[in-house]
Amino acid sequence: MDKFVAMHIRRTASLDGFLHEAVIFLLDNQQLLGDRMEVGIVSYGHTKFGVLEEDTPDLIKKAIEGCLNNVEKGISPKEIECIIVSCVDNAFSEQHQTGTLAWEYLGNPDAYGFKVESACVSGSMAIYQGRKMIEAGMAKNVLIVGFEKMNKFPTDKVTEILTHGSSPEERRYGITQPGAYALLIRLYAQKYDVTERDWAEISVKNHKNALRNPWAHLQKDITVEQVMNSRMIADPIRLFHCSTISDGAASILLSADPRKYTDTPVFIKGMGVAHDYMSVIDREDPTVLLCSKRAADQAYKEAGKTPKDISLAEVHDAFTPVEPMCYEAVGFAEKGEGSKLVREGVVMFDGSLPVNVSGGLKAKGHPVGATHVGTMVEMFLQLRGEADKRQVPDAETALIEGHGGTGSVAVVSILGR
Amino acid sequence: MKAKLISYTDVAVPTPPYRTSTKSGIVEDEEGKRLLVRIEDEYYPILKIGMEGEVEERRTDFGTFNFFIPAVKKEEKRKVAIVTGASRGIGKAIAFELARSGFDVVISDIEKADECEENMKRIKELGRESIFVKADVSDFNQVENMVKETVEKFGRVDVLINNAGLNIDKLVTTMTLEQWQKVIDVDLNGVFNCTKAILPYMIQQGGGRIVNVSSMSALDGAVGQANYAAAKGGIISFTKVIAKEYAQYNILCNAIAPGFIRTRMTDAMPPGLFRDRLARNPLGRRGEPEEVAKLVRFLVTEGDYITGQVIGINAGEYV
Ligand SMILES: NC(=O)c1ccc[n+]([C@@H]2O[C@H](COP(=O)([O-])OP(=O)(O)OC[C@H]3O[C@@H](n4cnc5c(N)ncnc54)[C@H](O)[C@@H]3O)[C@@H](O)[C@H]2O)c1
Repeated sequence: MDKFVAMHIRRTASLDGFLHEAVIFLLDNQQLLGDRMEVGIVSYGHTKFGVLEEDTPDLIKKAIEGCLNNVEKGISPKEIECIIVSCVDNAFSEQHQTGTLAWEYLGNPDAYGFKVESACVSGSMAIYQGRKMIEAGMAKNVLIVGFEKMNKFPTDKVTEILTHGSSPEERRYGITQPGAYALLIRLYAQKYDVTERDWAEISVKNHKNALRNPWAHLQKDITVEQVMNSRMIADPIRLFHCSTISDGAASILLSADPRKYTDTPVFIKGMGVAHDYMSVIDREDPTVLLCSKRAADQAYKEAGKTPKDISLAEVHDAFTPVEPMCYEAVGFAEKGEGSKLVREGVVMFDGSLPVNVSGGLKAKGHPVGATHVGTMVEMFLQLRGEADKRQVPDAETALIEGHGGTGSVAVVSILGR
Repeated sequence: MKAKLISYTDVAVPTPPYRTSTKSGIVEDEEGKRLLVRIEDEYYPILKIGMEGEVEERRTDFGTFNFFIPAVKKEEKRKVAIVTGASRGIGKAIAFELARSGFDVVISDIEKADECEENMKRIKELGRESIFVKADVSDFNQVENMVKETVEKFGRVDVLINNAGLNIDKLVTTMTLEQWQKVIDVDLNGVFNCTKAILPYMIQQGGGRIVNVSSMSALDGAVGQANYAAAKGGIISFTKVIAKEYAQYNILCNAIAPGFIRTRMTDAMPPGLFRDRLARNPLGRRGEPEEVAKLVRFLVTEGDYITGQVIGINAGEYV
């Protein structure tokens, strides 16, 4: 029985209890069905990240149009059954029903749209859902659109809205997102070998990478000294450790039948999702990004890969001092040894495992809902060899780590051709 | 409850309902249970990971919170004040009064009057330190050096008294452009220069107090003092802005508006004018520089909930 038959059965089976059970058994033991279906990415859209003139509707529209236009073998909107939007806080867009708005721009009256929110990792969560839907036979083609319009408001207002994603108790204590990261990072720095200089080097690296990315928000070289002397935001986190407040949108098209739309799809080989407690004090070991670690374990297992197989990665550098903790969570380094990868140049653009070649959240920008659709677009281009000046040679297998809150929800994806 | 500090931060960009930076941390109690805590500003500079202390519950305007009180003796902290134009007159009295209440004092002036040496000797007798720093407040570079020298010498700066000033009284029709400009440069720009130079240090230190010496002339339309009244009025507006811009850093800024004070300026008044002025004064006498100094001392040592205000000290001559 091939995978499409299985899909078909699952779709029609729910009417019949017995058949349903049988199909579930088969689906759960997919080896019996032969190859597992691989969901492919076939197209993308991407606006510049930065302080943009476009408001939410235009951002959504551009991302959708871009994605439809980039389908190499062409597509009719009628072939897209579902559109999932990712945006973090309606307080930014001042707009509910963004799923419906996206539906209006898609041009398929029979499709439907809805929103997914999982803090800063909303984009990956939307992709996760889209992929599950296709795997379950609920749709053949799903369009994912991430966006955020953050620069309508002054910084203190933006910080306030972002604090909506904090644990209620931390928030009550006046601990903002950078504040909670600061508590986390100080705990880590107390226990492990990491210096302010390492943190600064990461900011410098991600800024340098952004210079090769025309979509990046910040296109300027910075120095270690500039980082180390920048204004304190939440001691020990400084201004030049922080990701940018950006506007932007990105989209990808997921398909059950990728070769119908392109000869060079990129496949999501494995994906994992996991949570940890929202408040830093409730976590078993706050110096470990446990949610990212568990999500990575799932993704590696599904993809049949190990950290050694990864050619390049995008990780969640919302505040650059957390980047070494991300390396550790996804198995690039042993616990407490993340900063070695920075000192030894491993994660630099020309290193053996470049990380955040797009410029990362730090410099490419962090329009929260769009961010991790953006990282997916980056890897789509890298794995197709289309990343232009920032192309990593021989990019075979890519990893994306994203987490929300200060590590309360994570999605890790592994991609290949 | 006894507890040990394991992490802490100072959130410099607060979110509502907070308006000021909030300092908080994580402690571990004796069973290893972690708690969020608030930390008082004064303890922040001495925090160390692993520090022992007490956790106690306190009610605040934003609810009930755990506070961490480190088990350390509060260091007898040095307090440092800069007083501009303090070589003589009201400034001199302010410098002495602040020394009397425990401040080490930087006496700054464009020139050192004879009486200044005498004042510094008296300050020394109180067991406080003072230094003289020559600076023209209308020159930003000199002012920056003054602040730098202060921090180099004393390690900190808590208080700035913008007292330096002068007047060149003329009716507007006879006032030259230079006379207008000179008074604006010293009396108004001087206050801006000193405040601008000192704010970064105060922000970094977690607070400060600024008192600007304005004048009753700013309020009552003093004939013959268009330049002076404009500058002193400008100081009042400036004070209000500073109060609002920097309250979040616990920097409080007020202005005082002295009336008829016994100084060289009022000694030199023609006797007729002098008598007229006294007759209009409800207390029937000039104020002493020391009385002005006491008000300034009150504002910087007791005025923890006063900012953006203009406090008259004029015996009711202007109400
Ligand atoms: N005396 C009063 O009745 C009265 C009333 C209201 C306000 N005031 C204000 O009180 C303050 C002190 O006045 P005072 O009566 O003691 O006068 P004062 O002339 O005795 O003292 C002023 C001091 O400021 C110094 N100064 C002048 N220009 C300067 C400059 N460019 N840079 C640095 N220092 C400079 C002078 O050298 C002098 O030591 C002044 O701002 C004055 O306007 C005085």
